Amino acid sequence: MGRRLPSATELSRGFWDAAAEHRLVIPCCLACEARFFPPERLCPTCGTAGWDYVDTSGAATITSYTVVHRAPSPDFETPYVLAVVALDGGGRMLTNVVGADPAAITTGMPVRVVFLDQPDDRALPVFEPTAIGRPHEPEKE
Amino acid sequence: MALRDVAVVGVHATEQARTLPHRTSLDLAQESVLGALADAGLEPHEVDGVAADWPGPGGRRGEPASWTSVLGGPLSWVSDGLLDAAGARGVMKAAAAISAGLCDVAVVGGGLAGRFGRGQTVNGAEDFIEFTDVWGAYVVPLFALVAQGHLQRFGTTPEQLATVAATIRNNGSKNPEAVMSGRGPYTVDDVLASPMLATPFHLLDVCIAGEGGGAVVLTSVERARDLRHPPIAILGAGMELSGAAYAAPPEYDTVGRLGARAAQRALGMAGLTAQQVDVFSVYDPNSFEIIRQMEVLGLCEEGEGGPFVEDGNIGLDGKHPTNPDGGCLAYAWNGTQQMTLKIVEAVRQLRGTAVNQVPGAETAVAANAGSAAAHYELVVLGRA
Ligand SMILES: [Zn+2]
Repeated sequence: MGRRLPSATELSRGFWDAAAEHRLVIPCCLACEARFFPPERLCPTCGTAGWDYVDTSGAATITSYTVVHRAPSPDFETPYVLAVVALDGGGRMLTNVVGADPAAITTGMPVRVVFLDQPDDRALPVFEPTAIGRPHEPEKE
Repeated sequence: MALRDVAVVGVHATEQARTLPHRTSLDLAQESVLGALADAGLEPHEVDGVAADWPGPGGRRGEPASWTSVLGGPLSWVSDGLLDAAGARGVMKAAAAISAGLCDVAVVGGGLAGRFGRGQTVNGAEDFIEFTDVWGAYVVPLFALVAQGHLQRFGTTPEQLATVAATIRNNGSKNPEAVMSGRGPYTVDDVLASPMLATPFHLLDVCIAGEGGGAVVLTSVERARDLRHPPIAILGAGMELSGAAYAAPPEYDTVGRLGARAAQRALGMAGLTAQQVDVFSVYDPNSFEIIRQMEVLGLCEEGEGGPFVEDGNIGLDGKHPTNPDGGCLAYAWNGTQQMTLKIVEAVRQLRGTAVNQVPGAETAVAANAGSAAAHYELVVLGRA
């Protein structure tokens, strides 16, 4: 499914650049090492301004999910799974869970990132269950 | 002067419908404000405080001082910003301004037409939200994420959600002003049989989207004694915000209790417990949000909201009648001014003139919330 991806902002450019290379990165605070998402100028944990995008393992756990049967636009094939996942190493993000029967999704389920390539050389990170997914893609460098 | 020395003295709700092609936002806003003033028995030139939408054309869009062309005299106080011009937030800010002596008569309200078409999903925000929209998130599934957490953690059931939807929709069925007037009656099974939108929400668990307007007028209780209706005082108020709307993903663990502190503040100010309040006019964008609010208001313990609604507590004949007008589920949801309609219904109940009147109601809670539990505002109202 083709998605409308937003223009990157000065906060999110690093995220989208890495996603295009099939790497999932999130902000990690230089002062307190908290990882957080979405990107904000100041660390939500300690309030300092310095952070860098760091690579994640791409492994995560579903903490909340809903199976969506009515989409906001024709870009989305229904049903699809909207979920919040907790990334190994810290940080939570909204995402989709793909590659599994929506009825089989549960909270606590281990998932790992996969990327949906978009027409404009960009990519959108989503997740699929670890147990039934394909082997982890080697990282491009 | 304290907050409780300020009263709502006039209310007005326009026609409400899925679409109002013969109306404009400006004409709905003007009907609302002038209608509320007429209801109060006040002249437009007596208004010196404005927290009301100005959608244009004419004046300057978004600038409340544009109302001088309608109201006459110069203004002493304005409040702008979308949520400041509606509902409990608008009322508490206007009441705060009056009690602080910054103005004497304030209007809160507005209207909306020409925005929605059939079959559209409604995202509260007009701009693209980077880390929300890309994954197909919008208001229904975002609220669903919070609801799913409650179902999972406390064993709340789809039947309990459907009980809320059927109860409030059946109130709206008996309200001639309701968009869904005459529709129903609905059973729990009807709700469960309606199409699934986003688990656990079926179509009938979720509010309608439409157009319309509403406004209220406030002044001091002292001045209100000379006006047409018994004054309805602002006994308490509070708000609570968890963060910018839709910026961070909502989950029950992080936002599920949003409103509990605001409720404590407002009810504490009023010197009441939730159990002592006679009628509730609270935000119902979906069935779950009522269960959540029963808990955060303190009507039942966290996690007990499901059995609480199943026991009939929120029905017209129950201990805690909720949304007798049919709420957003069946009366009206019209963008921002559905928040003002919660005040309108609470005031009508306390005047004794509501369509599904709760006999002898003397105190009410009117509450707004939204954006998947990102913000919560409530006022406690009572006969002065
Ligand atoms: Zn930090």
